[in-house]
Amino acid sequence: MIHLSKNETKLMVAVHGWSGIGLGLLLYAVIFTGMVAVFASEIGVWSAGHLGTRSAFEQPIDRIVRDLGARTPKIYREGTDLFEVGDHGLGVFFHHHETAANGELISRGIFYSVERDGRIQARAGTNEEVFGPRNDDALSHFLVDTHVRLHIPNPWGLLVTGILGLAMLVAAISGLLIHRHLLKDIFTLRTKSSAVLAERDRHSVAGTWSLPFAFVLAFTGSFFSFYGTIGVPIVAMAAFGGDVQAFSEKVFGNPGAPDPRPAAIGNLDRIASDAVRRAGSPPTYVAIEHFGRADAEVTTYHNARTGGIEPMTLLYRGADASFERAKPQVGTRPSAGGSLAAMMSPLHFGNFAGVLSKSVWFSLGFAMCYVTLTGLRLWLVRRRGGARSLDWLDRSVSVVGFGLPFALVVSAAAFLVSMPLGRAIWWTPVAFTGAAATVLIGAVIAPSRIIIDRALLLGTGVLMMGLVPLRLATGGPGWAAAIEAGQPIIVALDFAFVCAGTACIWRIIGQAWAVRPVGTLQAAE
Amino acid sequence: MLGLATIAVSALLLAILCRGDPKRRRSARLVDQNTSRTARWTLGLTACLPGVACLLLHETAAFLIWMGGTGIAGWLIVMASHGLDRHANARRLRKQ
Repeated sequence: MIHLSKNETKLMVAVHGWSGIGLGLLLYAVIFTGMVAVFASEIGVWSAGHLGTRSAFEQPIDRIVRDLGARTPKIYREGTDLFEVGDHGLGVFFHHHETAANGELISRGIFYSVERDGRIQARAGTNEEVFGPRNDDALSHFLVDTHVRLHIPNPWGLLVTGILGLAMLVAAISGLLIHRHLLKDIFTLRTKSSAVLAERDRHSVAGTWSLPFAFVLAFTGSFFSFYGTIGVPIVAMAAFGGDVQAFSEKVFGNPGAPDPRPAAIGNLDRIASDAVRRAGSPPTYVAIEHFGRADAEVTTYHNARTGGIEPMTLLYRGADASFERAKPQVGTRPSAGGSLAAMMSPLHFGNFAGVLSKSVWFSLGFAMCYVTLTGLRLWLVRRRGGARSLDWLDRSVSVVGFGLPFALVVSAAAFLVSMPLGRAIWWTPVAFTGAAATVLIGAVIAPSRIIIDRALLLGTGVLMMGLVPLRLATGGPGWAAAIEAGQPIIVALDFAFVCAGTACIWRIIGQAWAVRPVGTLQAAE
Repeated sequence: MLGLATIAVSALLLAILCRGDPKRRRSARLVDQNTSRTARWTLGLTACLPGVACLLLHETAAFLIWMGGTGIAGWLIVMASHGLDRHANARRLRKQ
């Protein structure tokens, strides 16, 4: 495809190999958890046994928010965020903005959690505490947090995942440049070849088919990681004298003359129903600026309309609940940059067309995990028999490659057991850490890498198949109840876990029966 | 549904393309039945038509689903044909 000189090709092969081997294991962890996190909300429904299907914004919220506003100190009514919690309950966060000691812009206020049965829990805290895990979403929260920042404190976690996204971009571009026969080889997996060539074919074929999305996912992932950690502070420093709040108000806010006169908020139910009619779907998030003032503004955020991918944002006057305009995500007027910024989220999460687009994104994530693992194995196979033993790295690839799925399934099992006891926030990460530690110890004492792979695959398969009876035994809804309630996703995920578990076990049986010829090592090119 | 339909059409054409791909057939020790260069280009370009149609219809979501789904379908077709080739070779060896 692209012709490089011999020296340039050598350089690119080195860049490709070392960028992969240097960050490949962490990159695999981020891609794998990202692949699972595509279904984070569905996993949340499945694991907590949520049977509600009607959005909180399709139920009356006006009276609740009005009452909560009346009992909240005025200082916290600068901003009000409304979002769904638990089984279509309503989360209401009255807050004001302040700058933390480290210069970070935070929101502090009172968070009310309104369950579907009307129970209200209140607690004071910052945005980080409010948006933290709950007992019933600890598993999906854990998955997303692992993907977004590998549980490293902010901003370092985001910086690490951003750098990993860039490493993935480098690997994709260098892979494209070194592959001289990209289209010619796109259907070729050599049947009678050495171990090196077999690994190379597996790696390059999967890489070629998923190449466009490797670019898209790596770029959008890096965008999200660097957006708040580097992008916003730099722009704020350059154009707003370092005032992040001023930047935020100018770029995302609704500029207008302040009018601090007290005025009751307009009917929120009317706003919600009008927003559903205009956007074709209930809001995913609602933000109210200056609750209880004459200049209050209500912004509703929606997923894209059917057939499109750009999310919608609608703006309403708070005092009389009248529609003002459709609002671009960035700035006050529609722009190419605003549209691009708005598309980053659906392009990265694949959530623009329900389960179908999510399934495609999940499969692409799987293909990329495969590319990363086969790339690491290829690098190792090429060096097998060299002067330095790389057995520790070979084992590390097994520990991460097969150990991560195993530890995630263990954490899911721990969640199912501990959630009814109200201890899931603690047990979910602890079970993951315990499983990871067990895998590490096992990998050190196991006689060979093959045994580690097979033991982990077997463990993952058995546990996956065991998740379904465990879910039912711990009080999760049965299939009939789930279908009757309009939550077929619970049945679908049960089925998926059984199939995935069977596939893991089947693979071990297949490997045990297969007679593999011993390949002779030779140069790949 | 449009997304699924476009993936199905493109996957079918890719399967035909894969079946007659000369390099794959050579490596699998399969003789004859290679698709000509013109036919390969025609099939390849035709496989892209569903995606172009989505763009012309302004169905951005269907286009992205088609693009991702076709990539995955292509990969699965290669893996499946590799498995079938190995079986065919093993059967041929047993006969010999």
